[in-house]
Amino acid sequence: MRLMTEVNGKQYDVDISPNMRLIEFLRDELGLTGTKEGCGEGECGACTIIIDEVAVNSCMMLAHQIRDKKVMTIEALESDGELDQLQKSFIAKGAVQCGFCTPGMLMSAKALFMRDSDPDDISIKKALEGNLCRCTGYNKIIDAVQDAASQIKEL
Amino acid sequence: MCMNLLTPDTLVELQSCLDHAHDDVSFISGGTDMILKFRETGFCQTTVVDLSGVSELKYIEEKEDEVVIGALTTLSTIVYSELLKDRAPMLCSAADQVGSTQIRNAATIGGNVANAFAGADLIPPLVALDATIDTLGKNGSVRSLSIGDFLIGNRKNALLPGEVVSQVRFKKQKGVQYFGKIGSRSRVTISKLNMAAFIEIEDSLVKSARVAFGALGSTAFLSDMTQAYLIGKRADTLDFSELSAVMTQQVDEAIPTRQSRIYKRDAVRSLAADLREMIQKDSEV
Repeated sequence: MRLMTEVNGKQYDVDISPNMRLIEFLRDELGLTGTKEGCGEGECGACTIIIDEVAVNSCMMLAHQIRDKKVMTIEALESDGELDQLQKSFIAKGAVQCGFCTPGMLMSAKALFMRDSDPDDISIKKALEGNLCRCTGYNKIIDAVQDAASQIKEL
Repeated sequence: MCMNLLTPDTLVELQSCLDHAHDDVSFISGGTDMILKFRETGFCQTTVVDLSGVSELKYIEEKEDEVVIGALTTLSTIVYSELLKDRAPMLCSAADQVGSTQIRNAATIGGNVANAFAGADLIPPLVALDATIDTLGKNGSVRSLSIGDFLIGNRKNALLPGEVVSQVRFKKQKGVQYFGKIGSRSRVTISKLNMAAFIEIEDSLVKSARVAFGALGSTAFLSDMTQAYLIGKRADTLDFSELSAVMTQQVDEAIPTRQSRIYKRDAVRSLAADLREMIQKDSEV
């Protein structure tokens, strides 16, 4: 079944199975393996991506549901070798431990910044409420998002 | 290939899908419930109609004396709707407490209602608002069902095969609105008990009350005994121990043999406390 879509600024016109989930399309068809599958049922948020500027779980959608939409995955955060401010802050604040939840955390935070460039603590926690960190490094993750917000503000 | 996927992008295209649908057709929109269901069958549903492209069913509007919400409106849209914050704050509050940001960005009001889960959070507010569910079926047939008639059991609705929810509507009404839920954690949790209340206060007295419980049996229901207790009471001096005793009795009556009764008869006391505070606060204004 034909699917036309845009992922990370690139147009795709592909023939894929109707029952393929979005995460399988991203990882197995496009090779965008930055997006992770954790629980597969919407609890952990490791599969978080951004569709038309809002964060969603890519494990809970069919690939064909992104027809005519704009998808952004973790691979698009960095551009021309320059990391996104969120990525820089995650590194600076030691917010990455095993790293499995990190792409999802970054995409949830990125989606938050798209609608609120100066979020307060509650907004940050709410934006990340659907992302679990099995290493339990939540404080540093929240610090990193706060840091990114203030760095962006200074620019 | 073991799934025939149809992807209508307009109401006209959707109608054509419905007209040709076999009885075993299923529908997906946000996918937050359906993907889990598809997984049980190894993604081998015969025909699936993806509703998510039908943007004509995404709206929140005021029409004469009613508020009308298109079935494909996401829970996030409901949370941030200024119209609903004003007209149905308990619905916004319920939507805000469903799942996570990612879930709310995908899940729809039509899906929450059609899934008819006993602990669904949007259902008690819709019961308390006496909402009507409009459906769309074969050959343009439309039906309007009261939310009570629409819900027939846990995960069972009154939709005919090949019929979908098109919109949810309710009368504009003035009153105190409250939604509360108890789960195993404060956020991203499935309700173990939830409750919505719509209370009208006149001259400091409770004039009318519609109090709906969810996750207390197979479908959400109006609690006659809680309503009867509240009506006629002074709003500013509502007695907590009496109110919580009535609500505890309601739990006992609704699920007399369930093991969870012990937990829920305790849990309901905190909903009683919140409801009382809400009613009192309103009477001070």
